[in-house]
Amino acid sequence: MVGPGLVVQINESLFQGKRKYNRGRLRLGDRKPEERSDENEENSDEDEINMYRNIKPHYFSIDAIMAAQEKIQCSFIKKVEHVDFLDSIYSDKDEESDPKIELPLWMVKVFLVGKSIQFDMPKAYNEIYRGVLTADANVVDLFKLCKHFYLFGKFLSQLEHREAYEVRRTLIQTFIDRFKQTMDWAQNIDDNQPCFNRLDCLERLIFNDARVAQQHLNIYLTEGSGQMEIAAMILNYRKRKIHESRVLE
Amino acid sequence: MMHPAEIEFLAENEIIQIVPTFNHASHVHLICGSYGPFRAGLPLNVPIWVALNLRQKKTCRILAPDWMTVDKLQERLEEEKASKFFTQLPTNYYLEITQMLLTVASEDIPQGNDIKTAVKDLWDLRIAKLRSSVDLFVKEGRVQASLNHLTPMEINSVRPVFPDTLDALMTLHEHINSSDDREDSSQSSGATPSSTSFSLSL
Repeated sequence: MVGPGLVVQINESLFQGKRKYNRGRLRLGDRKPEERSDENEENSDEDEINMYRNIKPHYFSIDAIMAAQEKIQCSFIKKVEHVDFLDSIYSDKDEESDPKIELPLWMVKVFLVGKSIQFDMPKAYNEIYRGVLTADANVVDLFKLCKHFYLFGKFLSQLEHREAYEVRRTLIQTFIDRFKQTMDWAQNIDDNQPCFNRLDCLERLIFNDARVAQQHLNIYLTEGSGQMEIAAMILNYRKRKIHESRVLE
Repeated sequence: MMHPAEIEFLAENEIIQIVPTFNHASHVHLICGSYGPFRAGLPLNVPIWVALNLRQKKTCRILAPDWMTVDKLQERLEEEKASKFFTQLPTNYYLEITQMLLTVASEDIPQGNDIKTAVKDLWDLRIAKLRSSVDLFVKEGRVQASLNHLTPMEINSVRPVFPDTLDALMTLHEHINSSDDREDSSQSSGATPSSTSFSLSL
């Protein structure tokens, strides 16, 4: 790669964000000027982001996108044209009523507008599992059942289906029933990987927050708060002072 | 969410009595007030951080606060057990103050270990109470609760879980309302009737 007369383009550089007094590296955090990017805050950044993270799904929420990607078994009740790319098996004819195929939720939504499709509630939300969840929600391994149980369930219950109302009720009840357990696990058990594996993605967010806070508290109770440190800003400030006074001399 | 160390920082501004072993005739002017004069052998009030600093230089003896005796703490514990609600404590920072004083000046405080146990009992009892009331709040789907006499450290223990939980629950509820509304009118309702309000008062 190296040699005289050779022009090598190494890479594009990012000149964005601010560096204090032109010191220090450019960091990814500098892309977002509204966030504080002091040098000593690398540890607490994570906490801050957690704190202001929103539970509500929005357009760019990865969880919401993943949840909308879950497959639903459905069958067409009307003839739909120009969608034979959906499934290569049925490519010789247009989608007809009899064959059942699996489509992602966002696509089902589109077909539902034209009322050309009908679907069964997926396994995690059918009558049997609703019964199980009502009986004792705490024993169910939600992550195995459906990674985005609450989000996907919420999307499902917004679709037109005769069981939609029951699904919503079950979702809320399940969340309430499992809340105490989630909190207890997060705050009391040291080795909680097995418990963590059973939680749904939404519960995991809450679990992680509770876990971090509990660890802070435990460390504080056993080791105390430790020494205060001088903020990096102040250190830089002093360096600058010295520099300035040298210039004056 | 606050870090426990930050709450300890707030606790350091509480006033405590010390007996200095040096003389300093004039007042010391601090942002939190003026303290002094320091006379050897005469007790005076200073903020905890001053007391700890002087104690670490071995220039004073810390007097344990009134409530920091095994008997008083047992009394509190009984009171707390008997009451359904949270009882008022002599200080908002009982756990932190005990922790700080016992680390720095354990020789100045008689029965330090027993006090530590008693304070831990009190904390455990109150936390258990808090957790069960939080659980009840979520289970019964209430919209308002008032909890008096909670200390900052206790509030901090539920803070990371509770708002997010309510938020998640509200999102689940919201969709019920919005799809119910859809039948009678297509207007988007700005204020959903189930907007959860929650107040914590100290």
